[in-house]
Amino acid sequence: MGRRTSGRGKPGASSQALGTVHMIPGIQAHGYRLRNGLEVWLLPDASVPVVSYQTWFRVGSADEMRGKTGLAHLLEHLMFKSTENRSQGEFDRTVESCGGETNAATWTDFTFYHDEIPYTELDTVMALEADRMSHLRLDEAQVASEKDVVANERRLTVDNDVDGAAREALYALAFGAHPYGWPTIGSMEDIEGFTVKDCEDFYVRNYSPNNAVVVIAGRFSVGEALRGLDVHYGDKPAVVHGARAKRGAKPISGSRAERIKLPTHTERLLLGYHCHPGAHRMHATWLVLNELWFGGRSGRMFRHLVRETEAAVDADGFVTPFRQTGLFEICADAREGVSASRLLALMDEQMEATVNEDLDGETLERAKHRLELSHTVGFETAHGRAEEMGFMAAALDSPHLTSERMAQVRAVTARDVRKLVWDRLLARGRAVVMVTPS
Amino acid sequence: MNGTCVQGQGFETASTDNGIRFVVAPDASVPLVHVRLVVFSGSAADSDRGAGCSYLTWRWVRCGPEGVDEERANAYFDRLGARVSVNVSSSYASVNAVVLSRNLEGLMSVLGTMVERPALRDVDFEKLRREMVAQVRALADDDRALGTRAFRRALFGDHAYGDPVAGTAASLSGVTPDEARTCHSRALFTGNMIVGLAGDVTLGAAGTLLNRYLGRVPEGPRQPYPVGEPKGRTGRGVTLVDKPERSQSQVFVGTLGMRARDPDYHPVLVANTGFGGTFTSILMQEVREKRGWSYGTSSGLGSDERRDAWLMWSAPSTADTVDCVTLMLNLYDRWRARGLSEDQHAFARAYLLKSRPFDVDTCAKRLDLLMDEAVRREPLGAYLEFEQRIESVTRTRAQKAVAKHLSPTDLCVVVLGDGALRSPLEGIATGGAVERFSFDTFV
Repeated sequence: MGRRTSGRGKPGASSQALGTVHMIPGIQAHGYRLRNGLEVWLLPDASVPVVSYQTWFRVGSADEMRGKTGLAHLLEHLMFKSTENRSQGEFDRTVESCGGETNAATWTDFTFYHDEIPYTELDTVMALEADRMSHLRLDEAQVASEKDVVANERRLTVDNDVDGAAREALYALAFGAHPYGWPTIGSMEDIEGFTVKDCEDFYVRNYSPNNAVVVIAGRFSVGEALRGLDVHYGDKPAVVHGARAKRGAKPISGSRAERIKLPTHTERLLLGYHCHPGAHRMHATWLVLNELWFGGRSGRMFRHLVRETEAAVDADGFVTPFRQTGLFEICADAREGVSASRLLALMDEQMEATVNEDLDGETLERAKHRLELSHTVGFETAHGRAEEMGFMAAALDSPHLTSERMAQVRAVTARDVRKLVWDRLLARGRAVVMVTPS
Repeated sequence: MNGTCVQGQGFETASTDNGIRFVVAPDASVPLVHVRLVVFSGSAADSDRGAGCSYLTWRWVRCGPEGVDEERANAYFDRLGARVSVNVSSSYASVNAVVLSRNLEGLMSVLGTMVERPALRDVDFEKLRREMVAQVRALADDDRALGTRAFRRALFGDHAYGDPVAGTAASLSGVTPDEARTCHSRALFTGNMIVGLAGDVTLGAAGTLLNRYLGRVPEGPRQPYPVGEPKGRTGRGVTLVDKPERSQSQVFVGTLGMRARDPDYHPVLVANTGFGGTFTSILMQEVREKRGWSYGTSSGLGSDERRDAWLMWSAPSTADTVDCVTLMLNLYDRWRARGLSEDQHAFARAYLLKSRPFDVDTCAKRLDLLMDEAVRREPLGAYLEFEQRIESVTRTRAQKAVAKHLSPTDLCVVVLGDGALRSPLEGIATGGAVERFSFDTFV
């Protein structure tokens, strides 16, 4: 719970420097903290004609309560409605009249808003974002209409989508009562039940300068940006927040398995293993393992399941970069006539082989090169750079990781990978979801 | 290098010694190079050899150069920090790559041989075909992809634009290795391709590499476009793609659009932007903001050598489907008859002008615009005239262009959803007949 307070000290031009992070050669991020606690990262680049303006709040679906799942996400939608100073639709109209685009996203540990604008419009968007950070105004009609939109989003991404429904089951199984176990979009029952007061309370509790990170990337000067931030955000009061709840996920003991029936022709297998938090240095080893198994067409697991045995249409892995214990997700879609049990047996063989066989240095290097490429490609756009910094700073409280993660990846050894597979995959429990045609 | 070295705004172009045109968009801000090897022959030529033949052919090419198996080729690309993919559309096929710039020569040495002299082993063909058939069958789980296939079939009928680029399980099964080899050899001529590089590379360095690694591409002219104009369909046809256990429908409403090089293309683009191209557009406001009927909704204008589709899309709940289709049709009728208001027109035009920097803010995006121009036989750098073309569009011109090109009566309505929708949809179709297909007809 939080409550609004007056700012500590006089808000003004002074801000505390947080240092400079060298993200990749040629791209630096300069950090500051305003007096009211607003954290700011500035990534100037005079060579592009645009600016990406991102506001990250340190709140996500993990900060909800059971029975109110999906509230962080619904509020994200409502943030585009009206404020005390701007009428409904004015936000979108103003951004688009500048030629900009605006959108937002919510996940377990964050909610973020981004505006992609021509560089001449920085002040316009700064005023808009500062306004909705503390002056949102909601009414019954807006909330009712947006609940319908979100219900349709849920139908689109979960209820009528085999992958979405299967992943929802996997997370519930892997995390149980932990907040990571419920869907960010929320249950249909919870979505339908939200009131204006629910939304307002959540907003007041979580939206404040000292619970946010603003990232600006693109063509602007640091001095100009800091002056603008001071003008638009400087008088906003900080809010006293309790520390973010840190509830460890209950370890998976043995194998938690579930078979679900969905409208599909073929079987599907999803596995989930608890992995290290996103800020932990071992996260890099998980990334390397995932690349070794599922990176491109030469990844061990992909190659074996899709090309060599022709048991699967596709096989993929993903390491969630969660603030707390995360999930290493594996998903494989069976070809016709192949069972999910068969896929599981094939995967288990490959896991055993990863531990028992020598991992040659060249294979490991290839995986690292692929990760380096993905990492570098992510920095091509102002939006990509800002998103990397915003996520690391807001969700993981670790802005320096934008420069250190690749060094951590490069330091991973074959022994590290084998040990990880043994310690965290073979010797511990897992969540298993098998999808069969209904 | 041969030919004239032309320096445009943000790009340079020249030809290799054997006559392959190439373009470089230099930008050293990030240590990457993007590569596009584009051949001006795509899936529009597949009607004689089976839908999906071009895509299967170029994925087969991607398996590696002669003398190297797929596993070794993939390992080599990975070692370089390179990602290589294939893209096929109706008008072209391209091999795309991105690589850490320090390894550009290593990439080009394999990429060049792979395109010029691919391995094309029968064993890879059969394996790849089985994989692609499985992927197409898996589309049965993707409602939007299925609905798009059904819409294009309904609108274009037997024309090649009605065939899915990736083919169907049946059409892929009919393609032979020899047909695929012919597909490759008939496309690869110096005059029928263009190469683009963007990023941390110079024109001189690119020319040296291309002369070295694409020097054996046979000389020959650009191939003629293989198909004529589609006819579309007459009347308002309604198709129901019956998929059980749906609580939500996918709705597609559209008609024939226009050629990419039509002088009216930009006027219609402005009008469409105001109708369904932004978050504040008419469609979004009426369907999502006022009624909450769909999470997303939009309209779009295809661009190709022949007339492609103009299309609206939304995804309402089953209960709201018929009302949503009716609303979309009414909005279309009103927009087509009256056009945008002065304010809406000015807003749409300003949006297109001011948002243009996002289409050109990276060298890879500029390269893709240049490659599109080459495919459309436009002068390279035509994208630099975009602002001028949009500025010249008046409200009257936009309205007339919409009225001229988009039919008031010949519309395709395709709904993928619950079979029970058939009866209520009958009120929308000309003559009251709703064509019904099972969803797996389209894979």
